[in-house]
Amino acid sequence: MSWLDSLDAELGRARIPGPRRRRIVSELRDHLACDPTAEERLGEPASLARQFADELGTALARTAAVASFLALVPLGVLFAALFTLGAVYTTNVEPGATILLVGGVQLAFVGGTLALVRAWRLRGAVVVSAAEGRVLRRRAGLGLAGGALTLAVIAVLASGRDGGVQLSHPALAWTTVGVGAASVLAGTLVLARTTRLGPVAKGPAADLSFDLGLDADPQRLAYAIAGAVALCIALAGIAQGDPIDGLVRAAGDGLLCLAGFVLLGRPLGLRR
Amino acid sequence: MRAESLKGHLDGMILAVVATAPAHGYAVIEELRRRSAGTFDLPEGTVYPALHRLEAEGLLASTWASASGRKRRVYRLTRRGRSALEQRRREWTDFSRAVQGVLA
Repeated sequence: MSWLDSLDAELGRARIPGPRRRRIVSELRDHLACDPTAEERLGEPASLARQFADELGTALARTAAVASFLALVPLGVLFAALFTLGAVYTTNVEPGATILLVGGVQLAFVGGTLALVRAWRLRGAVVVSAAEGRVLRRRAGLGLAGGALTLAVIAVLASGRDGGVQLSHPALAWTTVGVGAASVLAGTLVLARTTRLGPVAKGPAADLSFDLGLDADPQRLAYAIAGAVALCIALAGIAQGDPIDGLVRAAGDGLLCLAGFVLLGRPLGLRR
Repeated sequence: MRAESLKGHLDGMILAVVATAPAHGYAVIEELRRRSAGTFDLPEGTVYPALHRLEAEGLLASTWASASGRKRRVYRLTRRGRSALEQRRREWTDFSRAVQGVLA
């Protein structure tokens, strides 16, 4: 088996997609035609194939993470407009739809933000570990899934299929669904490119302390964040003249933060 | 010079070579060797993954060309690549001035 045949096989083993594989082999064929003695200096085919997977996989995973956040921005802006106009979270909306809407928005915000933060923290890395690549993809996927859930609920509400109650600003609601769907779809397509090609390097993923740039125990950071969220909600309740309701919601959201940390902490690279 | 010593500088050097004129992989490696007077005799295989990664990051663009009946992938710098190269030059100037200040 020639060096090029061996490289082709190793690129396949490293899960480099067909068109990219053919291009790499073509480039290296040209290289060897320029200098037939270069095989040794090009390195072992297996090692070279892994390097391609590591470097390309790292770049694609980072791009997907940033793209997922950017894809959620138009949805966030339009949803904020709907929220400000009082078109969602009204007493007319079914409680089940409200829970799904709140859940979707929070998943989109948390997933998208975490994806962006980790991509930013890893911006100078030429190669990240396979575990880190998976964390980037999962965070991006969570954000986009949250965005899709939010859009689905708004579409159901705007069509009046949740019991005949329509949102007060249907035109804006449908604009949100249309623009948001196109944007989330674009982000999903970028993410889909990373499903085959990812880094293969060994090593662990970082945790929440790396995201925040703090040298602290991630569990303590999770307690601090949950406490800060609860405090903000409690203060908002006091400001709105309903401290009891504020305290109940503060406790609920604080516990939800901690539950998210426990349940999703490992797959999302928040704890080891 | 060992390849380890070049880590972190390879991207900037590749961008600098391609900034002069569009080039294919072999020409980039030859130019790196020529400009460093043979000091940067790095494993040639490491350049190709870097070229593909820099393209994936939008700093390089590439097209097929034909030479002596062979297909050849030619890389050129993008606008983003030019900005990145300028930034790397500034960082290197600051860094080398600081090291020189300490060593001298």
